[in-house]
Amino acid sequence: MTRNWTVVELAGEAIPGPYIGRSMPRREDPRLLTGHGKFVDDVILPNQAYAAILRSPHAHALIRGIDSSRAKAATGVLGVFVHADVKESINPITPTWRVADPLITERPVLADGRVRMVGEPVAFVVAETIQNAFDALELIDVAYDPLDAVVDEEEACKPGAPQLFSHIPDNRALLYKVDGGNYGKIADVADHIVRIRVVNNRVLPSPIEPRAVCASYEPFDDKLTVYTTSQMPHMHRRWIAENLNWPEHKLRVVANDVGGGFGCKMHFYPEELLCPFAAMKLGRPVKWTETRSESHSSTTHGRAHVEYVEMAVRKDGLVLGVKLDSFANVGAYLSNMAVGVPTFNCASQVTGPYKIDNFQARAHIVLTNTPPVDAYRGAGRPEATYIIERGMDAVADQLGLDRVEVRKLNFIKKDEFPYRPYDSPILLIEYGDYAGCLDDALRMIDYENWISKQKELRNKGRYIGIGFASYSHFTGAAPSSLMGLAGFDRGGWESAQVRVHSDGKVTLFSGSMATGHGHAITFAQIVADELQIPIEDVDVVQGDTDRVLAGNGSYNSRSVANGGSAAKICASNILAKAKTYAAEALDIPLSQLDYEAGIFRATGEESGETITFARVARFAALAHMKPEGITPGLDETYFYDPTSLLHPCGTHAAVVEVDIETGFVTVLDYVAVDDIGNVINPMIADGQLHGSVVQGIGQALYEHVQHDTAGQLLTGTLLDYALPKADQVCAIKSEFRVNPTSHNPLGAKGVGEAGCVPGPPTIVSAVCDALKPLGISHIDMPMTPPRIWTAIQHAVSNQGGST
Amino acid sequence: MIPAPFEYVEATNIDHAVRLLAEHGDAAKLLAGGHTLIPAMRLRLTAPELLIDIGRVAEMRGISQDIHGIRIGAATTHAEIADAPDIAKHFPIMVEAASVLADPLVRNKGTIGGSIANADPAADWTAVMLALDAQLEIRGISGERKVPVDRFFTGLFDTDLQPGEVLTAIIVPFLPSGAKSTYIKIRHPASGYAIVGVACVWRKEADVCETLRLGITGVGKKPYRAVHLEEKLKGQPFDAGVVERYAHLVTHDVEIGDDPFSTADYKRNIARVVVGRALARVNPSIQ
Amino acid sequence: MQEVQITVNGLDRSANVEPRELLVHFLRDRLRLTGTHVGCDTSQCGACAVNIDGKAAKSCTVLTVQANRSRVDTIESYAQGMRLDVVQKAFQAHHALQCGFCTPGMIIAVHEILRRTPDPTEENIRHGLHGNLCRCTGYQNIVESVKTAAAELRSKGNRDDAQLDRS
Repeated sequence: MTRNWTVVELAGEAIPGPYIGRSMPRREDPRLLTGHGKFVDDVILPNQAYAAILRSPHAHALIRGIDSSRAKAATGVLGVFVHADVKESINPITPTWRVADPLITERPVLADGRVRMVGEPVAFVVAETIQNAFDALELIDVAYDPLDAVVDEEEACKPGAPQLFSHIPDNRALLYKVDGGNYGKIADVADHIVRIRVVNNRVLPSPIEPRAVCASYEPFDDKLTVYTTSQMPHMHRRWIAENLNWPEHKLRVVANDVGGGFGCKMHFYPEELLCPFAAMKLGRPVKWTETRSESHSSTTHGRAHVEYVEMAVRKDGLVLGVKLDSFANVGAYLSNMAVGVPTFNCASQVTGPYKIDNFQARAHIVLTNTPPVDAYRGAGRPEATYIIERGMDAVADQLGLDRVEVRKLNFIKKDEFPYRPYDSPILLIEYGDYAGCLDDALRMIDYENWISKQKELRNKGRYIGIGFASYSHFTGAAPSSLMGLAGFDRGGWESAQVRVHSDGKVTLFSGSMATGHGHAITFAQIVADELQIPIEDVDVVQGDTDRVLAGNGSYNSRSVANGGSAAKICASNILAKAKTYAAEALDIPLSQLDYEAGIFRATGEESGETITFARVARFAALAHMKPEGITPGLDETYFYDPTSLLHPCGTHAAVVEVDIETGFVTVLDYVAVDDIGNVINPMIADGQLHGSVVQGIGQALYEHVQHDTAGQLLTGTLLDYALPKADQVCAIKSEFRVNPTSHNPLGAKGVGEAGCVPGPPTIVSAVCDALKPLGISHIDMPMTPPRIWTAIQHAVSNQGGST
Repeated sequence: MIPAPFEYVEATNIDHAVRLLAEHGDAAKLLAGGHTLIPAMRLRLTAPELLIDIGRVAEMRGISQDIHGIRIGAATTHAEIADAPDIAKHFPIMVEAASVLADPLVRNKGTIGGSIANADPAADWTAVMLALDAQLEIRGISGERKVPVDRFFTGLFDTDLQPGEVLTAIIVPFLPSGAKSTYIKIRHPASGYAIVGVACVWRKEADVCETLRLGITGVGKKPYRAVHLEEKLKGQPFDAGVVERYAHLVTHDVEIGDDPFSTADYKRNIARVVVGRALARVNPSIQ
Repeated sequence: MQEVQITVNGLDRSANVEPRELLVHFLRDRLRLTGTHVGCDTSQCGACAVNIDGKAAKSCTVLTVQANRSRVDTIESYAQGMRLDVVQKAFQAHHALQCGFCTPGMIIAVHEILRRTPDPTEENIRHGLHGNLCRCTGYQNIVESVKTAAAELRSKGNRDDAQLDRS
């Protein structure tokens, strides 16, 4: 079975609860399936103008001058803006996560006399039509003085490398340090030191909907509205307001349907300031829509680290200590969370599910002449998992031990929780049955059987590999106090407002933000169960800062855990208030009131007087008879600030076949065992997992952002950058192990990143296992056919043998 | 993105297209399916002043047959070729090629003539037509001429088409009885173009290889016939050992460069491997 | 400017367009049929798929003038009011969409697969989706929904019925 759910049939009549744990169909589907979605590029406002952006063709250059006179005179052009035109009105963009006090970059929204990457915006053109706007770009003359560029993160922090900013020596914005125990001391007494160098390759988040912004200004209301492709509309409202020196209460940010985000749509971009600026300046709505090729250099990239790993190991495979030197390429400017991802999210998380007491990590945050790198699905934990899982494979390989046994020896054991990795004052893992997940994954993939088949097929010249990776990672970004400690200019809470209308129907206003997650049904499942009312009576609203009062949006697998918990607690507060009105209506003491399935009655009196939830809602709305000290109406708001990060865990396993003559890899089977806590809607959780795994497979086998040494992007279109296609991946078998967290009232731990975290090391481990007979222990991602073939040639010539 | 402005004329027939081409010279480009040209225009890599649409010129569309072979109008789409019963019957290699060319939606619009005239070094029909020894029918202001396909590809995106000329049809002679053919392509994971594509036509007589034509795409600057390898294998009863020994000749004398995805060494290797597989497929006795 | 007459979703539409106007912009900006999306500029992603004279094609790589005198059917024509067609229903039942941006193109590509291969294998389906990128679903549930839709259509006997179901 690839699926363990059957969707609840929509039979046209009401579906009785409870709803949590059931595969309810999604509410967005009918409109999205029929072409009636409301994406930002679908917004067409009266009198709307269109924007296009002239971008730098150089990776590093001084701008001697810009002549936009021809463009300004061109057909349909309404305005051409360069840095001088906007500098008084738009503040530069700065990062919002400043862990460990890094040196900060200030990114001008239009280049200020210098460009530091290909694709950096230089001029912003607004015209009557999109055709006019693109035509005008060709009429702007920019005189550049090219400078030497640096692209590679290790080169960039060497002496003599081209410098991006005078206040950031060696292009190093931060050297982040994490220590626990004493690595140096344990390394001296260890039986072996295992050393590896691995690369977390640079990839593109690539939601299929490119970014878009549409801004309009109503002068008589003095109100600015910005439609943007956002995973966190309230944060975008704050940032737009701050950077335009504009008050938040006169700014509305709207994100209706968002066509995928995967992290890149939670960051903050120049276009999100330029469109509202131009809309106010020109008195016209202004829309900008990114083209796909443009997005390859104008939207944030992901990953992009080089890691040097040392593991101090006892001869039986016990890992006594780990040392990491990580070089993280963050591109030309520090984007939103760029500093936090390779540091807090990666370097400090490397020990994963393993008990490693001696830990020393150094992460170099390095600026280069490439587009900014920021959080992409998983954001640091895929990188950390890749580091430790490649490390565990290397330990097994170099010591001649079994990969399964090495992991089991090193796992944190079930009776050791809650567990503080390397005595960290910040990190505390609640629970994880790592060995159980590993055993389940091996059973599901039919490990023993494949091991014997593998031998058989090798004799026939076929190279089968079995790989797996275990992980424990954190989700649910919170609590707010930790965010503060970590230098993150953001709260960890989530808001919910439950409004009961006078007919008893309910609207949930949630600060989470679905970008394909299906919150409209999952959050309704939560609220309907809490209120014990039909799910049809609950609507969910997100994505509009004028309707939803506050929010932190969706990232870090936090929507259900934080936003869903907020909704649940808020609904329970509604019920508490409703009970006071019900008791008043039934004229009984509150303590004698029972509530079940939408009906209030006196305890134990099955045949007595009752009142429905809907009647209570009307009763409260009229407030003719108010309980003592109770306000009219049923409308509650709750800000839920979780007490802890959450720790999903699991093991994924894969079987691959490598064609050693061509280097092509076929993924034959892939299984996932994940403990994500309680599951609200199994269908949606499974879907999240599938997509996440395929992004992991993409990173392992196909996806690779490449720049030449001059900083020119070599993968500038989808003709060069390989997103996984349907015929390049296989079906995924998924099982959930349920160990609910006690940190939130839903017991949910988050699923969105559970695939891309263990995915890459699972695939790499499988390919390397297939090639082990040839003496290959590691190939860097993406494991493209030419790379695999080249590795085989080197291995064969080193062994002096033949394939 | 948006193409630069241009004028557009829908040609009514071939002569109309030829006249317009002659009139406008280099400023004009022919538009058939547009699936190579329009993306290039959207990225503003090219900006013709006039597009002459030959996509619906009746005499350039469709497949006909005489006793020597079949004639495919240059504006026939990949999907129409794949679906044509005459093609399936006589040239299964073309159905094979059409099924790995671009994607099903593009195949409904892209044309065989467009693909051949564009001479992309990694296109598919080029190799297949080389192996099938096709003739190309070309019309210009001074009349019509036929060019054997192996003389057509002159360089990187360069062909024997002269200014003002239109590729109007591809004429494919029937294969002798007993001939077998195949097309094997290794696709670039992003573009779907050939890293290498090998089209192979083979026939044996009295246990020796009597006919062998190998059309190769993807590896060099232009599609080509692997004549050095053909010469080694023809006239002998080749077996797996012989193929193994000589397969490397598939890239003999071919200039191959590195690209962001693969190295020249890799391309040489994969061409050697794929040609071996193609030969094994048409001649199972050498497996 | 060039005059075009195109039958879009059964309605005759005429307009004067610049030759460079892409069909997808004609549909989205002029006719406000915004269900057809633009996801790329190299005809890789398939989010812009529509039917032109009964065959699926990528409307970002077709000039509006090339579609002159053609019949164009967009995603907006597939359901009857609120009633989803067989493929759309299967997509919802199998959770074959998440963000929904690629979905209109996917639905059209799936109809193309079923038009060509009424009883497709998993391999047929995956190859048939080669020109349509989805970043959310990992394709698995899309593949499942194609199998379901195919079975449903076959059980109806022939594709005319399927068309009836669509119309």
